[in-house]
Parts: sequence; structure tokens; C-alpha cells
Amino acid sequence: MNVNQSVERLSDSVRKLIAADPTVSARISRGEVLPDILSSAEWAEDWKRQCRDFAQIEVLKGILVRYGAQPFELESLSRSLEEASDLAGADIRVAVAKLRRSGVLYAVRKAWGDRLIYLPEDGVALWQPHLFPAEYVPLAESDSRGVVRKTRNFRLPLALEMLSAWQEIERRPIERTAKGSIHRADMQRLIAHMRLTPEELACLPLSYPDRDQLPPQAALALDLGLCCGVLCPFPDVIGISKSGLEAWLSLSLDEADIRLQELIMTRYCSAEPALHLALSSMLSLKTNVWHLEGLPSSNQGDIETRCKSIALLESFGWLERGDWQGSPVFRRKSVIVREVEHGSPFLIVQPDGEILAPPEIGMRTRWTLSQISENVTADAVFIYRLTKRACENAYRLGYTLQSAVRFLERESRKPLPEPVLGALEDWFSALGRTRLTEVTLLRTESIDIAEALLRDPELRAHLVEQVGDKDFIIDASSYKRVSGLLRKAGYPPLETKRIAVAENSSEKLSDDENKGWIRKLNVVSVFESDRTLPVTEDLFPGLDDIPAAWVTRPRRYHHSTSKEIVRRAIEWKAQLHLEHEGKSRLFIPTEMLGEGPDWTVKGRWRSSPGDGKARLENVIATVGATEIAEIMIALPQVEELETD
Amino acid sequence: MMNSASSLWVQSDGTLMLNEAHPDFEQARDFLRVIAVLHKRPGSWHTYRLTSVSLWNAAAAGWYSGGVINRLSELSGDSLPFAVENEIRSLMDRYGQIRLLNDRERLVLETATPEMMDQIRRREPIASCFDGTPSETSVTIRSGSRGWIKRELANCGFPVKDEAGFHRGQALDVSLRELTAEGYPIMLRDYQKEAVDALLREPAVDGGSGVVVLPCGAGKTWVGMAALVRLRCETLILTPNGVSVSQWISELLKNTNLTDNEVGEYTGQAKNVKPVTVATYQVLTHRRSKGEEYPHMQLFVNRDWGLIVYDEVHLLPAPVFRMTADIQATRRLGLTATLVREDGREEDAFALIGPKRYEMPWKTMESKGWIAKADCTEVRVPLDSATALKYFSATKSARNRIAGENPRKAEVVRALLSRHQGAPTIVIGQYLDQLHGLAKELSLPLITGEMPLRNRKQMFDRFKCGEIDVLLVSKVANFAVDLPDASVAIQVSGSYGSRQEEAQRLGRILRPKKDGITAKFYSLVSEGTDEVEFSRNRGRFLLEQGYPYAVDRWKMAELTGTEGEGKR
Repeated sequence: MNVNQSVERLSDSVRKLIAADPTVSARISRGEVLPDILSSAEWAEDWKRQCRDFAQIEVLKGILVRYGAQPFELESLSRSLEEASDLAGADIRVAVAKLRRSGVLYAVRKAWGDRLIYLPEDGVALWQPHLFPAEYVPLAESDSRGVVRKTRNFRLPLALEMLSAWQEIERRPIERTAKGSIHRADMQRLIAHMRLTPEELACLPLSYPDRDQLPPQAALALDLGLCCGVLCPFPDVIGISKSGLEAWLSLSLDEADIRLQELIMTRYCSAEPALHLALSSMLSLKTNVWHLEGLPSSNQGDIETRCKSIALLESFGWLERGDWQGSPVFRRKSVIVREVEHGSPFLIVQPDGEILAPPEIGMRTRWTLSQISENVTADAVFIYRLTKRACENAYRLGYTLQSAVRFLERESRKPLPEPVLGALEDWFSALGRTRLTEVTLLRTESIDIAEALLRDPELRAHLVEQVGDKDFIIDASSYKRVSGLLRKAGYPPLETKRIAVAENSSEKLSDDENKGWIRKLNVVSVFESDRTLPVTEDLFPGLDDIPAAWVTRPRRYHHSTSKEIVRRAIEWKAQLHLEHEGKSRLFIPTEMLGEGPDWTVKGRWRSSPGDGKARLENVIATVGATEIAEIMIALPQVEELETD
Repeated sequence: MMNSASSLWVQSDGTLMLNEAHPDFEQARDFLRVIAVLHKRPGSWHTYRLTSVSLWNAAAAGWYSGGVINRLSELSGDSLPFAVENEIRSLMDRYGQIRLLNDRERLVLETATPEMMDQIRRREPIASCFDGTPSETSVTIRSGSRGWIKRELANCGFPVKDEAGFHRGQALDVSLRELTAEGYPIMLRDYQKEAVDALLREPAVDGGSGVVVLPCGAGKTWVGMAALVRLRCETLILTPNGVSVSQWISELLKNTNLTDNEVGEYTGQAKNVKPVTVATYQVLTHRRSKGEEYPHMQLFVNRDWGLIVYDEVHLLPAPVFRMTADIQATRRLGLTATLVREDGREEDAFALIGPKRYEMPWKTMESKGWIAKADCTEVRVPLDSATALKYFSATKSARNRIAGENPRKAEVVRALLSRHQGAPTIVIGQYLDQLHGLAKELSLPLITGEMPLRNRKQMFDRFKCGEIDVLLVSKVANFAVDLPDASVAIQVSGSYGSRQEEAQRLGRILRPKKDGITAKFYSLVSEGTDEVEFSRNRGRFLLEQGYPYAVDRWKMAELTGTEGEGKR
């Protein structure tokens, strides 16, 4: 689920708590709405800047690295972070609660009550730039001139790759077998229009029906098409959704690619948090700037994941690789590279009927081109050719000579070359001269009856055309009316069973246009949203039953009381404030050893207490009861969790 | 990433698209001419392709891969796609890596590196030419393998730089006359001189043999004669047909000091081998049975030729290629209007004739006035009702001929001849029945393959000297027939979609006219038939060369009540 969907499922009370955060409330007062605020990069930046809580930042980082947008149990996070970080379990629990209260994390409950925490799927791209800013070193412009491009196989930006595949689906929708799978021939047809290969997609954990039959690039084209609303499942076929297509074509190429990037990350990469994070990091880089592939530090994921990410983005046409003085470099590609002199980019129609579509040409123009011409080359410049067959197809789709010429002249900003206009006139001239159509026929038994009907002015108005002496074509929509008039005229019609008007094939089977083909893993929307936020007592059960001094100030206690305090700290995974060997230190207890007054406690010391960024010492230490002068459970700050 | 504001767009498959309207156009075009093949130029965007042969030609012309890559990057405004850069490097860097040298009368193949020698010695057909065991980087080649090994290596992607030199051939005292028969001074045009200079560079700088690409009508014969005069040696000239043989002989006698005793014809009709001999490819490849040797191939070796000229080299048949492989010590000059071979054997032409030495495109020649301007018009002629009935009830294969022979075309030819009365006109057709019918109906002289060569020549001569101003011709006149004054061509029928045929037919009227008039090319096409599409395909080559067609629709007298044509 994304931020928007997650916010929608929150209870009002939780929403109010989140809205009370100063970084949010200021925006609400400016008229912004909560879902938009919590998914905006500006808010995330603001929140991060104002957050003084080391534990929240560390926990959020830990979640990004370990789970990405995958749901997790608090226990699992706690175990893993306690081992790998300087945080105590109590710090982690409290940080998670605070992050939920800030609208960063969300939670659902399984049917049996277990709670799952998650970062919304768009949260990775939201937080990665602030918590793991990309550290790739950019090349200076002067150095960039020395880069030799190394991307072996030319790849279209995914938006254009998908457009080619979907155009093929428009030409012939994908038929489904009785079992709902895809016909082999249709699948072959689809992948013939794609450059992506199964090997390039092998790193994505894709799970979908008929995996052994359907190659991943075909599944990707179907899934993205369905998710973007361009494709739609009809009774027996997967075809184009007119409204979805309309919306999609209104996007610019860059916008379309950004939408696809979101889907690739959230639908497929989220199952692999490291990949998700690495992709997000690369996609946050400035376009058209070469960066060194190597990193000064290694917090951007392991080399294997980085290579995998680069290769994947390269396959999707969003990135290209190069070599600069022996060092591998890469750059994000952007479609818009030209300052067009007179506004929008334009097509070039050559006198031999070829049409050149430069890279900046938008998707709507490309879609229309594919309807009225044949694509010859899908490279940086697309080349289309006007042919007789293409004109037949265009006519079938509703184009006329005039509309095709109008489109080409408008998009090329020039009158068509004479030979092209002549060829189009030739090709269109033979089209539409004949037509096979179904009509509603009113048959009469004799010429006399036919004449009688013609004399009835009311009935006559509904007779579209007389066929021979005895029959008339009537408007199908006036069927009922004509039937009534015939009765009235004394000739009640013998009605053959009306063939039910076939379901218009463009009618949708389901309204759920966003249903994809590839199964999304670990979907949290199936669970009920956790409608409450934990309060202190939930995080530290029994806190109200202990003396307040145990958690407020260090004191000297009888060893049995100290033991009880230590036990409680272990239970809460909280740290202890100990007066030990004349020094005041923080200690995270993990295990109590021994009975009676000679007990000892195992755990780890935290150095530099009080600076907020204490480091855990690696050595397991043992502290005996007699070594402790003063003791206190040092709980994280929880006051804000109590504020309504 | 492509910078589409640049003059040049580079596609990942090596296609180069050049914008004629860009300020950098001319310099970009001059550069592309060296490294790529012009595929087409139908409008303001010209398409070029990088091929192995075009890149080797560029290397032979002195370019290095790095320079080509940098220049292309500059023109396109970005670094090149990897595949393109890689292709340029791997192909161009190979040029000069393998050389053929003459070492004390031994032919030696040298490679730049031991690895390369290792790579080529593993190929059996190549190793079979070795005379002895190769050293690290050199090996002696069997005598007679010079052409064979060059061709095999070129087909494997390894061009050979042939520096083994040429023998001079039997000396011949030949020079150009000072004046033409009409009393005009004989002077080569600049580009003809440049072409000969480029061809005859020293072998050490990779000259001496190769191909000159000039459009129809640009005077390729003059380039051949100039090379002959420069080398002053006995020369064999090979052409595609008998008429062309006659024309070569006529030009040689008219413009050089050679006499009848020194110029011989070697065709089906005559077998005279003289110091300059002009032969057809056909006679060289003639043999009585399939298994037999080609007896006339002896022509290559039965005199000490110092130069062999291959006219219309793109038509060179495979057996002549094979023979050419054996005579690599003789200088070779290929003349053609296009490097593209229908059989795809461009590498063979590169290896056995030599690299492209000079090229000038049609439109450039036209802009400089070296060839005539031409207007191309397609005239749509409706079928009469009886022919229409016959057409629509015929099988698909029979329809083309019915449309081609549309009887109403006779009326159009008559009207066009009347419009261009007095202008030297050729009427070209595919079908002999149709041509005989037109000859009868319009009382016009007709030349077909059925006519003896001598008669054909007489008829062409009468046309050239203005005795007759209209000539009906079959496809015998498609190639290498020089009709310098023809200014109107009417194509009444053509083969299904041969683009080359259309170009060659237009080429017949492209010789610059004395009065500078624009040549007219008409193609008559039956309206409403498949011929319209075939014609569109045929015309595409001309469109791609920058010759757009206008379309006129003929309105027949019986349909409109008035004779004439009406423009759309």
C-alpha cells in the first residue's frame, strides 16, 4: 500500500495525532491534505531536518535496509537491530511508535491479532534521498566528453517499449483460453514487439500465472498495462481500455516513465529491499550526468545489488553505461534533450512516405502514428511508413483521408509532400465504398401491405429505406415504436426472438482496471488497519506498577530490589543507568545469572552516555550485584506518545 | 542520448540521418560521403548507412577510426552508441593490419600482430593459399592466389591492403585528341580528373585500382579513357551489352588518337583482340554446357593488359569475379552509378576490383550543371471497359501485363510526342507486343533485342545525329546506352518493381543538354490497377535520390469529350 491508501485507512484519532505534528500542521493550515503531505518529498525533508531523535532515524534506516516496503513484525525488527546497532529494544519499540505517530510507518493487524508494521511502498523513494543520499561521484562536464558509451544493446525507455507492446494489443487484443491463460500465438506476437529479454528480467522476483508458458517480458507488459489502466480484462480477451489509454496518453514521456518507475519499484522490487533501495538511489540522480559506478563508501548496498540495479535500469532504457579512463560510469537518461525552437517537437514526413519521429515526440502522437502507418524502426528516432495496408487499418479505426492528412500536417507543421498526399488519396479512395452491416428489416407479406404502411405518416417516419417492393430497413433503436405502430395499424408483427445485442466487445468485464497480472508479494491491504497507536503502558507493560523512582533517578537499592529492577529492564529490553566503579554508565542487560544476593547480570556497556549517539561496546560484560552503587532503568523519552 | 537539434542523428543500428536544412549540412555530407553509403535522400533528411565496405573505403582514403568517431560525435552532438562505435573501431582498425607485398618477386602476406596471423591461418580456405609455414607475422602466398586470398579475407571481415603493385602491361601510345569532331576542345571535367587522380595513386599509398561512382550521364566513359591515356598501356574494357561496346569503341576512336587497328570488339558477333579491346560480360561468361570452362575468359590473359575497365561494375557476373581474382597484378577500374549490388557481393567488389576511389552524387552533379535537371511525371491512364473486364477477370499474375499493355497508353504517347514535338524522345517498354503495336500505330522506329546489333547501332546513330527524333526501345536500352541528346523519356511499361531499372531509364536522359533544358521523364501507369503500386515501388528509388514524381491523371477524349490531360 502506498501512503495515500495507508492514510485513508487510519482512524480519525490517529489521523488527528499525525496532523498535530508541527511539520504537518503548518502544511494543513496552508490548505494541503494529509495524504499529499505525508507523501511529499518536501515534508520528508522537513521532518528529517527537524527530527532530533537519533533512535527514530536509526530505526527508519534499519527498516529501509532490512525490509524496504515489506511488512514486518516488531520483534523481528528489534532482534535484528539490537544485534546490528547501538539501540536497545526499548529504543526501537518507542522509535517505531513515534514513527507511526509521525505518519512515517503504518501498521495492520492480522486476523489473530498479530501486528505487522510497514513503510508504505512509496516510502522507500521518499526517505532514501534523506537517509541514504546517493553518493555516486558525478563527472565534470569536461570529463564527460571523454566517456565512451558501453551500453551494448539499445533499449527504448520503458514507456516506449510498453507503448509498442500495447499498440500491438490494440491491433489484436490478447485472447484468453478457457482456463484464463494466454494463447501462445498472442504471447509470441506480443514479445515480437519488445526488446526486453527474460534474462534481463531474471533479477526481478516475478510471480504470475503460467510462468512456464509466459515469458517475463510479456507478463510485465500485461501487468504494467493493467496497473496503468491502459489494458483491461474483457470477457475473453485483454484489450485496450479507452478511458485508461486516454489518461495514459495525456502524460509526457518523462511522466510516463516516472509512473512506470514507481510501479517497477513498488510492485516487483519491493520484495527485495536492497534492490529497491539501490534502484531508488540511482533514480534520484540527476539525468544526463555521468557518475562513477564505484562508491566512496559502501552504504549504498553491496556491489552485486548495485550491478543488478544498473543492469536492470539499463534494460529499461533509463540508464546507460560508459567507460571513462578505464573506470565504469553510468548516467540516467532523459527523453527531453532538445530545446525546440518553435514549441513542441514535430514529425518529419518524407516524400517517400516515411515519417521520422524524433525522441521528444509524445505518446499520443506516436499512438496515432501506429494507427495510420507501419512502424519500421523503433530506435532513438522511430521511423514509420505510410502504406496501403496501414491506411486500411486506419480506416477501420475510424480515420478518413482528411483526418489522417490533418493529423500529419498538424504534427509535421507542414503541408504533406505531393507524392505522400497522392499516395494517401489513392489508398483511401478505395476504402469504405462497400460495407457489411446488420440492419433490422421489416418484411411484409405483399406489396399491398407495404404500400399501406407507407401511407401511414407516423410509421413512414421510421422506415429508413425500402428494399425491393415489400421490405423496409428500420432504425434498430425504434424497434419497439415500430412494433407498436404496426399493431396500431392492424398488422401486429410476428416477432422472431430478438437476438440479444451482443455485448459490445469494448464493454468491460470488471471495473477493476488496476488488477495486475503479476502477483504482488506480501500485500498488506488484505489485513485490517491497526486503528490505534501504542501508548507507554503498551510499550512497557507494568510501568504503572513500579515505583516511579526506578525510572526517574539513579539510587542505591537493596540488592534484591536492584535485581528486580534489572529483571524489569531485561523484560523491557531497556538500558540501565548504573553507578559502577565510580562512573555513571549505561548498560544494556541481556541475562541474569545466579541466585540470591550473589547475582550477576550479563550485557553490554554503552560508551559516552548522554550524547544521544552512544556506541555499544562489543564485549559482553558481567556486572555483579555488589559492583552496582546506584541503578535506574533509563527509558527512552515517551512523553510525546502520551500527548493527545 | 541523441541530440535532435544536431545536423546528424545516429541510430543504434548504424543508420545515419542527415538534415539538409541544418547549417552544418554541407560539411557533414562531405564527411558522410567518405565513410558511409547514401541509402536515400527523399526529402530534407538523407539516410546513410555504415557498412564494412564503406568503412574500409574510408580507411583506404586515409581516415582512422578515432577520427571518424570523433567527427560523428561532433556532428551528432553526443558520444556514439556503443554498437556503432564498436563497429567503426573493429572494422576500420583492421584496414592496413593485413598487407600484401611484393618481396623479390614473391607475394607476401603480412599481419600487424602474431595473433592476427594465428586467427587467419586457422581458416582453411585462407591457409590453403599459403606457400610454406607462416612465420609470426608473415607468410608467402602461392602465385595466383592474390585475388582469392583478398576475397576470402574480405568475406571474413578482414580487408587486405594490396601494396604488391601492378605490372605495367604492354605499352601503348595513346593520347586524347585536342579537339572533338565538331571542333570543340577536349577537356576533362574537374571531377573526372579528380576521379582518375584518386584511382592512380601510387600502390604504396594504396592506389592503383578501385571503383569510381558517378551518376548516369556524368561521363564515366571519359574517366575510363582518361585512365587509359594516363597509363598508356593496352587495356581491356568490359561492358554489359553490345550497344555499349559499340559506343565505347566509337568514343575511343572519336576522342583519342587510337585507330581502328588498335581498337577491337569482342562480342558474340566479332572476336577481335587488339591493344584496346571492348567486350561484353555476356561473351566472357558464355559456354556451351554447364560443366564446361568459360572459353572466352582467355581474353583476360591472352594479351598483356595494363588496365581492365569494368563498366557498370555493379552488374559484374560471378564468373568474371572469379577470373578477376586471378589477374590481380593488372590495374582495375570499376565504373558504376551505384555500389549496391543486387546479389549483396559488395565485399567481393571491394576485394577484387578495389576500394571506392571517388564518388559524386546525382543531385550534386545536377546542381553543378554536369547532368541535366529532370522532371518526373507519372501519368495515370484509365483502362477501357473491355480491358478492365479482362483485367479484373485475370489471375493476379496476368494482371500486371494487361495493365502494362493498356491500349489507351498509345493515345497518351501520341499526345506526349505531340507536346514535345521535335525534342529527341525515347519511348521505353517492357513488352515486345506492346512496343510492336506502338511502332505500328504511331509509325515509330523500334529497337529490341531481336534486332541485329549492327542495325541497332545504326538506329542509335541516326537518333544521335538527329535524323530521327523518336525511338521506341525495349529493355536493351536500360544500361550503358549513350543517347546524349535524348531529353524526353516515356516509359510505357516496366518490370514489377525494379527500382534500379527506373533509375537507369531516367539516366538515359540525364546528359546535360546543349540548351540547358530540363529533361522530362514520363511513366504511364494504368489507373486502378496493381501497376499503380508497382510504379510507386519503382519510383521510390528516384524519390530517394531526390527526384519526386508528380502525378497527372489522363482524361481520355471519349470520357471527357476533349483530348488532353488534366492535372489533379
